[in-house]
Amino acid sequence: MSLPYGSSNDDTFIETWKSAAGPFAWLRAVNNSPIGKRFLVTGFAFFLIGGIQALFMRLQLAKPENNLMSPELYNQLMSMHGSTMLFLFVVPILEGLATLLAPSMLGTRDLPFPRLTAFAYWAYLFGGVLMYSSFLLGVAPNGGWFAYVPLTGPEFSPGINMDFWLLGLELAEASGIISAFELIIAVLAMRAPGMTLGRIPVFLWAMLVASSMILFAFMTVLIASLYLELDRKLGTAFFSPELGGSTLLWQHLFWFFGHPEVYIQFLPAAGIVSMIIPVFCRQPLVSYTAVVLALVSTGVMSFGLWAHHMFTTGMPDITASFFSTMSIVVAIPTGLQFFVWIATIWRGKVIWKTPMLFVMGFMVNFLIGGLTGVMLGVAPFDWQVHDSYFVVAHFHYVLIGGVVFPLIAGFYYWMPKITGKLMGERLGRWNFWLMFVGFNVAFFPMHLAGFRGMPRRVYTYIEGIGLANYNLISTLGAFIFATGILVFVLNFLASLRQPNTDPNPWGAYSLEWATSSPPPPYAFLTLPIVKGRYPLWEQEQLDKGDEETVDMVKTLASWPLSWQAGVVTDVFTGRLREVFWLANPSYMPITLATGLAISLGAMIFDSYWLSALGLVIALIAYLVWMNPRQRPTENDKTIEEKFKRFGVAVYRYSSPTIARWSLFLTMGIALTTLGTFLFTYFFLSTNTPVWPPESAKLGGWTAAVLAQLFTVSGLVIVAWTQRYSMAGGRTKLIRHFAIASVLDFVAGGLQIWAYSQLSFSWTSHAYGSIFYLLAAFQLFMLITALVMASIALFRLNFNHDPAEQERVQVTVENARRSNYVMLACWLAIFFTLYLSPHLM
Amino acid sequence: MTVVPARTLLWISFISTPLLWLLHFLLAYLITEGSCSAAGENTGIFGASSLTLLYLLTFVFVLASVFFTFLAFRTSKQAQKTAPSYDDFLPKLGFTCGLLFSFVVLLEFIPLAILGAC
Ligand code: HEM
Ligand SMILES: [Cu+2]
Repeated sequence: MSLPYGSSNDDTFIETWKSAAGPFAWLRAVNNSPIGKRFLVTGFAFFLIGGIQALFMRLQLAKPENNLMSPELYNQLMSMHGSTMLFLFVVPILEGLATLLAPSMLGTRDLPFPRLTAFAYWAYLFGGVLMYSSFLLGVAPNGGWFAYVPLTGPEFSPGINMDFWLLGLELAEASGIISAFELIIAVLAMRAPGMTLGRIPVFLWAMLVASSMILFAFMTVLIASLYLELDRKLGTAFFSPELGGSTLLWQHLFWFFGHPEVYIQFLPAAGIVSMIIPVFCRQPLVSYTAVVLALVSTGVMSFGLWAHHMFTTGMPDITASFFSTMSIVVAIPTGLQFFVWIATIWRGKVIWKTPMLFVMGFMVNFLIGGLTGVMLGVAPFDWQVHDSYFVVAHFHYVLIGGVVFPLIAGFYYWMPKITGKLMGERLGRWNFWLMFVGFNVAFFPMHLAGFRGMPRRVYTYIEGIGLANYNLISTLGAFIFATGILVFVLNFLASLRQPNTDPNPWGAYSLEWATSSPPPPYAFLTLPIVKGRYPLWEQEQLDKGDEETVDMVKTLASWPLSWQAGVVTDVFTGRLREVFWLANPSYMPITLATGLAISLGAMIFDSYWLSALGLVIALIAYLVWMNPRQRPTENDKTIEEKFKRFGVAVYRYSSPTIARWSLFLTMGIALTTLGTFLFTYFFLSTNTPVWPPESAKLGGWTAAVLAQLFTVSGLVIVAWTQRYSMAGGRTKLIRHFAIASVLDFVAGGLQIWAYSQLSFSWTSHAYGSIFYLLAAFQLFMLITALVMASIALFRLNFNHDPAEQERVQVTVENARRSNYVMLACWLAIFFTLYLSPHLM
Repeated sequence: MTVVPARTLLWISFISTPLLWLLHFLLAYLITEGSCSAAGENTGIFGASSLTLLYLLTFVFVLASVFFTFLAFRTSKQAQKTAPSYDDFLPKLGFTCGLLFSFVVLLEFIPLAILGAC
């Protein structure tokens, strides 16, 4: 077939999709391709910084009793190295890669929320910068990447080091959640016609799973950081055992995030491998279903492993054995993937290009890391080597072998789609062997040093205990490895002087290779029509299919040209459903991120007025962002009629389908938050002999019960509206939502009054801390539901534009759904706070 | 127009068994956490011994998983009739997930049977 496919030579269309021009245009750029590239560059920069920190650590450890640096500096480097690699490098760079490539791989044009893409980037950048600004003051975080309390609590870390970590992390993690949110919706709702769920490129299945995990896992660590920051700033007692708090609570919450985090990194890397192997073996994967099964099941199972990081904290044997069992079982799906890869390679004839070399390096190194992982999953073994260098060796095998190698493979493979250039093969081979050999020389001896009893996180060790040689070798290996990275950078820079390559230099099968190298910003003017898993291998042509689809795709290529149009396809059938407007460039994403960064940064220095100012900036930015004034007006009645006959709706605003997905995911996040708070409550209650404490008296029972009655009746009234259609029942809809809002409002007042009767505060004891937090969350959910209802009321009242009724409809549905979720939270919290103490 | 399986059914056939496993795991964990002290005494929960509860729980969850696995199987057969326009991938995936996760729920039960509740 002739490539590139689907590019345009229509001036209007090209102009529409060009990035904004002007000296400050990059500040307001949106769209996936410029932002995706920034993610990659920034992520790689953090990788280099984290790597340099590692080299300094290795220099310090090269010989016994070395005094190149102070213990304090070592702690800071170690903590920042781990945190940088895990929070600022791997996850963002993988999300960035997906942000950049997902649209063209899916055969569509962009991600659903261009401005949100930009915001995610700025939030990530500012979060990272916030963390790193601590170095300027010489107070970098020093509590390790998992920041255990009580070490990081107010008592033992009185300085501001940990505040930088906690608050910077909040911003960076929020960015991760947002990117994940977008990628999920893109993969589910925005695909080329014909690309059913069973034909999605494996990398995007992996991103779908990883992103769903991020949504849940990142929330728990955000909440844990919130507790710790509250303990440090407001004197709450979540982690103070003397006041009924628990230090293990941190470990539970952290690892409930931390273990899935490992797979959040590994699954996309495995996805990259599954993309590359078929290309260089000229052979489809022997089982696509098995690979997807492995991705999904690993993703789910990874939520049942967290306590294997806590075997040495003391837990009932039976509990330990649950986690032990799962730690071993989780190897089954990974093994399954391995067999699929091996079988595919077996059947094909391997073409030894650099990406494939890195894939092989991955298979060897990750195998070792995986096996030592299973060893550590066996509790008695872990008791021996916990917190020794054996663990350091293990997780670097997993992270470098399992993630960095595939990532570099991916860079070599996709560079033509990123910069348009192929990277050199000769330097590529140097690159690979230096990294492969260097890596093993650096990290294999650490297993042995660990067996010899070298603890992790020490800045030095004494002479004559048999550790010197291992460490010297490790340091040597680390520098060989670093040379390999240097070669990568040189190879990259050298490649930039090459001319652009063909659209499909590797003879690959997935859709991103159908566009030019690099792809145009819109990826496809004419969307490809997909008929299988390996379209470029299986199809002679991408614009042939059933008549109707061909017609739809052609129509879409002719209109709209003057505004950026995204396309929604049906989750199951892969048919075109909606054409909608993608928001244009804006300064607001960066302004919003700046506001939040100011707000969080000011908190570090207890400057609460500045913090409030930051929030105000953020709020204003948000409102301006949402201002719908710039929506496109161009229309073409005949074409819209035609779309309508196909069953495709045209929206000059956001897509209703996407709005539904967004609400669904947001509510998922809200329920995760609720779950985490409730877990905290009950976990603390089992750890205290008397719960609630004697001194804690609940007041305002009557008001609280009344409040529940009011919200329940509000819900009944809202639920009733399900029976009214927009056309006939508009006034009824308005009436019901108005009455329900009043009821909810009164409920809020009553509940606040009930809470004002309490005999304790959030600093009294851990019970008080979680009590007030739950109360705050309850009110927050109420406010959210009220805001949603107000928007619905507003639109029902004022928006009678026939073209926008679907949108009004979605607003109403979403208001209804958020009311359900709000009520679920209210009742759960009422049960927990008021009733549960009497049941136990 | 061919009859297609309801969309919710497709989703359910896919996610039910993984969710069941997760729920089983969390419940089993909470029960032991709530009723076993680190010293190994069993204080029970809601009057029942935690072992009885766990037996019961596992039994119910295995049954439910098998049921949903079967459901996924049926849905995938049903969806196959309308393929390729209507994708049977999700229920097929759900069926394999069902087999795996039903097995895993059982597997987790082994330590219980050997070690007892606490
Ligand atoms: C040049 C390659 C690297 C070298 C030489 C290296 C070396 C080290 C060293 C010496 C430590 C400190 C161990 C201790 O004192 O306990 C460490 C910790 C760590 N490294 Fe690396 N590392 C490298 C790359 C990476 C990468 C690519 C990742 C992640 C993707 C990573 C993740 C971590 C983590 C999570 C820790 C633990 C920090 C903590 O204990 O809080 N490292 N590394
Ligand atoms: Cu783990």
